[in-house]
Amino acid sequence: MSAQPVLDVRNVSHGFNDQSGHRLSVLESLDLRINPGDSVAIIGPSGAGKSTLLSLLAGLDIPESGEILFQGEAFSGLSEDQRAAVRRGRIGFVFQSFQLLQGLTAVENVMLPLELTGMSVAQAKQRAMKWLERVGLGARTHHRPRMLSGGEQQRVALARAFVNEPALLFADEPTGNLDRRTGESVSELLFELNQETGTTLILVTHDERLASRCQRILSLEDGTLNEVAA
Amino acid sequence: MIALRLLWREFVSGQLTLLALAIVVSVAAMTTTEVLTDRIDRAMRADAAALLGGDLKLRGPRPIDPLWLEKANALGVASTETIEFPSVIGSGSKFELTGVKIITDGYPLKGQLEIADTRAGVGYPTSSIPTSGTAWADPQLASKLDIDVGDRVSVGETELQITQILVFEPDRGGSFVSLTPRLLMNQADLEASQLIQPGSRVRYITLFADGDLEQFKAFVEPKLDISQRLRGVVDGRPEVGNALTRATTYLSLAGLLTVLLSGAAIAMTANRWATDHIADSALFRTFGLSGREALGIFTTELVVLGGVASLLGVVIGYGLQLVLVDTIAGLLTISLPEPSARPAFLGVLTGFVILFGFAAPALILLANVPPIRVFKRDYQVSGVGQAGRYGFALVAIGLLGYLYSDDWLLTGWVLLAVIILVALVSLIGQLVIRSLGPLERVGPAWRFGIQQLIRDPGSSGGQLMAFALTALAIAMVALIRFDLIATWETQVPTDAPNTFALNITDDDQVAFIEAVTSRGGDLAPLYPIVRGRLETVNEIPLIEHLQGIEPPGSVRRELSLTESGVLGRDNQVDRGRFFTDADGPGLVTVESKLFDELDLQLGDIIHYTVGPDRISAEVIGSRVVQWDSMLPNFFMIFSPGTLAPFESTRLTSLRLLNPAKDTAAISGEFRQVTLLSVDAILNQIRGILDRVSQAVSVVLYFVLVGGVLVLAASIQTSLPERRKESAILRSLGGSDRLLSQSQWAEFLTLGVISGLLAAVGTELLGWLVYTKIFNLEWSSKWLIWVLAPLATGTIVGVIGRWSAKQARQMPPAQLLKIADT
Repeated sequence: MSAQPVLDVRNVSHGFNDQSGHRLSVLESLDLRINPGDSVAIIGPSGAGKSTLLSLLAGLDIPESGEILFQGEAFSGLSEDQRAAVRRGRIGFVFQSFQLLQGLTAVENVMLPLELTGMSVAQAKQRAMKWLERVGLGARTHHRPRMLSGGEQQRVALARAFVNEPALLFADEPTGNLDRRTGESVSELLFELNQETGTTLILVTHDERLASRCQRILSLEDGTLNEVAA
Repeated sequence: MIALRLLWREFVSGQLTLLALAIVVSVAAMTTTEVLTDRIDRAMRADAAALLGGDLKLRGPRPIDPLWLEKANALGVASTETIEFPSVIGSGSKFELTGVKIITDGYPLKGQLEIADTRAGVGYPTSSIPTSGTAWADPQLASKLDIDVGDRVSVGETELQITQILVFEPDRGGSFVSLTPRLLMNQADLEASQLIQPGSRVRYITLFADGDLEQFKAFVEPKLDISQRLRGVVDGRPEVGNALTRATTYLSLAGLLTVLLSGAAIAMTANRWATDHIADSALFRTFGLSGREALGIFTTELVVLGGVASLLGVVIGYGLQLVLVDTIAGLLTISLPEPSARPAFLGVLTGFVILFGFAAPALILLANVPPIRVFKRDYQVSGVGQAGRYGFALVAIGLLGYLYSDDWLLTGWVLLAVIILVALVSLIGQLVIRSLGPLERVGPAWRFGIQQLIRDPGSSGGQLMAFALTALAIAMVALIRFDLIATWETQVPTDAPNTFALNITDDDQVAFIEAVTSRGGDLAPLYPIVRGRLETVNEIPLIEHLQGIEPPGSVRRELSLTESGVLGRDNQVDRGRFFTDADGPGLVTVESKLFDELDLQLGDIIHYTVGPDRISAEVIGSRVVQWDSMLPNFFMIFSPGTLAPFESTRLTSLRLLNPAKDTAAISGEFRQVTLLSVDAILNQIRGILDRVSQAVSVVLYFVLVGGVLVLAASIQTSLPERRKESAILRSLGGSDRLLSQSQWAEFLTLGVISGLLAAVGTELLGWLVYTKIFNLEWSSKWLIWVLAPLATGTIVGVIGRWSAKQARQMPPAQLLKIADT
């Protein structure tokens, strides 16, 4: 086993109160270790708490009890702004609905995370162009999201997620808004890039075919995580 | 720096166009208005200063302290001294008690003298003054002495040649103390004339203009003694001062409405912008930005956008006012001073106050976006509550209102009106929207259109508010332009008297009336005049009665007293009553302001001394007097018979068809009667009214353009939702015709309701403005109830349909794609 897991989830429980004030438990005493370079799929029915788990793993929210360590650093005890600082440049995201800034061109969207880490515009642009070429959009760098197909938009999102070579990448239903053929080509690209960069990938999906491409598959049901396959 | 890049990219992409446009348009409109009103205001003040002969006038029984002149000089304030005193001027065997005025080069500092080359000649302006050895006589003096240009007159120990007839003297005014004939002469001849002797009743008048007048005023005011009076433009000439104060109040009121309108546009567009950026804010957090950093990006964007847009607005504003001044130059009877920098500063400040006052809630919303929102799109972001949003807006409106009008009272009333209006409009608006159900039965198009309104009463209520406030602003400015000014204008009727006649003896009364009417002229009633001095109130000497408070100037000297059984149409009893036929002598009614200044009560007995005699009278009422009506008016009017024991002459005002010619003829016929022309003052007041109308018209056009933009902005900001719904309806097979008709129904309904609400608001605000600010009577304006719903319905309907057209014309597939992003 490697020295330090990328994510170390220790006895995490989380829930919330519904409208009538009843307590709903979403996650119960979860334990999970994810090692560098792992690709992990989290599957489960709608409403099982996949998005909640993803938010906690990414430090966007903190669990009610238990602890989550990212590269040995505990999220709990950190303020939201401190957790944001931990994420900066080290964690990437790919979303079901792409989440591209509509006003920016493809290359500008990819440049954004680099610029936020303080990189110069020229450098950021050079790197962003390289990544756009890598995802096959070298000819569409100055198109705005509305002028791109869904598949193309998700490729831009992939380039944006990988551009600062994060240690950990979260992908939330990355093919959920795409047709099957486009979805397959996007997922193909996702795994290629994952292999090339050695980034740790945590993928939340309904799509079992997509999940099956990961090294590990975890099923979230009734608040608990079960290893489905390795 | 990233904020600037984002700003630029968003701007280029068109996301910020609407917000930027709202700021540019509002700042441009306000700057144009402000520069124009500032210039017109300064022009009007300069005009008024011309009627005072300067910006400030110091009057006293002694020459001015030379140190004061030095101070004026040091502050860059120009000054000129004149001396006035009564003296008998002779020509041949004729002598006349004349008001002599000694002037020096530089007089007058503001305005111009007008002279004629002969007694019957036409006046023209001049910047010269009589040279040494010469003098100018006014038509009265020329007529009484029967002299003309070229004749010589004896002035004290010297003789002067009359070289011009003095037609107009800017600082002479219409007060009765200066109604004696006039001789204007050069200071160089004063010594030779030996006119001023110890004990002479001399008034030394120093006129000041330009430079740091405020500081000079502050320097002089504490040093004035009881015999000295310092007067500025506004308080120096009540008739013109009134006109000016009203004029500027009209304009600032119009300015305030523009502020309100701009605020509505900014609030709508900023809110849209913030809603569009909720997802972006969450995304920035996933990139590792802290809440403060994310907020910093958006705030910087707004600050830079606000600054650039405001500057652009200012530039456009200055440019537009140039064009406007050019266009209306032919209409203006005055030359406008150069624009000042103040409106530019005010414009930029306005841009920021309005942007942040109305956009602050949007920023707070963005600051509150939690990162988890990236995964949960339905996650509710808590922003500023309704009360908070209105709070921010009200503070901004209040601040701008004060910046604009410099008048807390006006701002306070407007704020109160806004609060009541907003509360009323949202309450009634929501109620009306919820009760629109029956309209759905008109047809399928109406059903969709009305459902659109009912489904989201919050959003349609917001639009309703925007439309109603816009219509209200336009209605109010139109009301000011067409009704309020007309009301004011009727107070200075075109048939207002142009001449005062004094010293009409009882014997001459009938012949005098005949002389005037036979020339086609009109007369006001002839009032008997007795000069008297107020001595006691309830047998207590005046000074004691006032407990040491300085009595007002009007009772420190002898006052013209009159008696009359008829209340003048420009007088209104505000306390007690006026006389009836049943009343005998021994009663008096007092001008309302003087009534307060003298601390009188109804039932008090006042005593006047008239020569060696005494009059006692019981105070039975007070009258509000409209001093600018140009009719004879009096501080004290006694009941008929009270003044009968005293010898009196009569005073009246006339409207002469041909003032110059008729005055000369009547003067010749009734040599002891003094005629004074007040045409110049009347023309001055009419001139100011004209300019106010012109300025308010310009403001009206701006408010109109601004209003249309607000409507477009409001409709534009609802476009994303509209697109989505159009797409759904189209994809379900709704025809373009159905969509078009349903949008027409929706906007027409919104417009008509807005118009009705605007009519309610106009009644409310109009009542406030008329009764509380201008002390005028308010009567319901039925035309607004017809025009407002009709106009708003049509305009909102047309603009709404036009704006929503693009939502209809896109193929549903493309629409759905856009709607989903």
